[in-house]
Amino acid sequence: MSTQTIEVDGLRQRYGDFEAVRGIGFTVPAGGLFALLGTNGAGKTTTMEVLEGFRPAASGAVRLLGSDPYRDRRALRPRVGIMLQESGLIGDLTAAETVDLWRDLATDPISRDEALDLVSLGDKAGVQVRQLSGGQKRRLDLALAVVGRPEVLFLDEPTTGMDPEARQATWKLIQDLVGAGTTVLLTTHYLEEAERLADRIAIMHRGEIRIAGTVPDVVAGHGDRLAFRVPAHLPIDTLPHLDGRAPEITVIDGLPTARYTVTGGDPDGRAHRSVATLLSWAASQNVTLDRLSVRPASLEDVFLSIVEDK
Amino acid sequence: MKTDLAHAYRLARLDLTMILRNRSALTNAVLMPLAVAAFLVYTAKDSGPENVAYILTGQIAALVVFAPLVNLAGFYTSRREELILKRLLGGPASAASILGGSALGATVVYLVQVVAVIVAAVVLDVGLPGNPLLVLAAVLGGALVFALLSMAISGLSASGELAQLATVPVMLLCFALSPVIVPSGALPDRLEQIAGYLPLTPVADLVRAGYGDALSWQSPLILAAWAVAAALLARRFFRWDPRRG
Repeated sequence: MSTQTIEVDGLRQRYGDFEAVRGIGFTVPAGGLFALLGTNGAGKTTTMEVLEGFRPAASGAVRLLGSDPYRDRRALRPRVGIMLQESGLIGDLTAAETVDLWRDLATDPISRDEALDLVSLGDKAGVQVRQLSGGQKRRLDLALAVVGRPEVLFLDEPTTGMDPEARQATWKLIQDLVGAGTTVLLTTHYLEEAERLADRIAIMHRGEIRIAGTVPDVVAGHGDRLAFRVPAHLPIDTLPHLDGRAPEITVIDGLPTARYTVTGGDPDGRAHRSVATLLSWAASQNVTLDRLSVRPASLEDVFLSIVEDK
Repeated sequence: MKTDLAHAYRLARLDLTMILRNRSALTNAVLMPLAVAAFLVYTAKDSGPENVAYILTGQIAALVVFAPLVNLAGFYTSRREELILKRLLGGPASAASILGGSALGATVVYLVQVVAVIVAAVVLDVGLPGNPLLVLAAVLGGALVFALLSMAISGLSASGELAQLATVPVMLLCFALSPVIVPSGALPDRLEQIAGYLPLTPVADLVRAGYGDALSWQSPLILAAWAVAAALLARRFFRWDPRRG
């Protein structure tokens, strides 16, 4: 018997001629938080919808809590909480009435006040949904997803439209839920959100998982980043190569900036060696390296390199 | 199953609350159809009690076209386009209880209208139906058929307004040919034959059988055949995802 709450193996999904998901696979253990990242159209929501039981898997194997999420939807429904990418809430109901409706449909719901307080909407209980802001609607939607004490929570871009404070509060709520044993599958455009919350991530692009693992695993092997402002009088073609590569030149505030990605050699001390090489070159040229920065690759670097097909 | 029924009841209650809160929904779904029925009865008053009875019993059947077809098709479609249906489907309720709940709400509206017409029939000396079970079977069977048709029409429509517009040909065909306003005998033979197979015709025939007319064995069969056909159409055409984008 598998210990994985979510299992996806070789999932493929088509819309007519368009293959939205091309044979992906991943697992999420009980109490884990897995984040699917990707640009619009990468296949994240389609993957979520198959796992949520909205559509059958065209091919491949998909298991949720050991069952087929489409065929066994009836049995799984009370154990799963879903927050869709867009809120589909009834505008004429108040926030409290909306939660009451979901509570009446759930088997063992939390109280209305608890649900609203979880998402900091206690003071909006009597406000009609149509009068809530976009971020408040998202929070109400999250309250509906958790009202039935789900074992598995699907969150499709949960913090889109939220202000920074609400986003932080939502992250805290998600962390608390995971801490209490809820398994979470999350899609997001916010890399910071994935870095902050996820045990493991996968970056999807054009229907495929291009890279997956923990955030340190994912960024490892993507090297270090060095940058400095190019001295005004210095021709670009005189800049040194690092790791056998010429710098990428970008213009920031009207001034050219040299950017290096250094991936070769032993990762330990690689940044140090690269800086030493640069400083030695600068001394030989009698120039100062303004705004010199050195950092390991970030999740954003990895994400951009994948979506830009670098 | 028990949970499905409880969920359908809860969702029907929600829909009825929405109708009672929204003045235009209350007018369109409940009051307007009754006003049309009252107008038809009023115009028949001068042509004798038989005509009044014919129109009243016809209206018990004809009202099925409003809440369970016109309003429900618009309702399903607008809720689908606003992602409300999908949001509900992502919750604990089953597809059957979500769709059935709204159909139940529309059926309750129709039943209230039927009771109002029956009260009018008593006031106007037409009396109570001799066999109320036949009237109830007609009303519930008709509500089932037209609610299923509304699901099919909803699946083919891009907005609530377009869905309601798409029900108009069905409504006009039924009103013009089924025996709810114009007696079947007044139609040319060919049209009369066609009228016999329209979904509203067996509803009207069963209602009148409840009021003492002879019951044709064909009526329940035609209604059952329509229920099957409408269920197949609903299964084929209904959709949970919005048609937009």
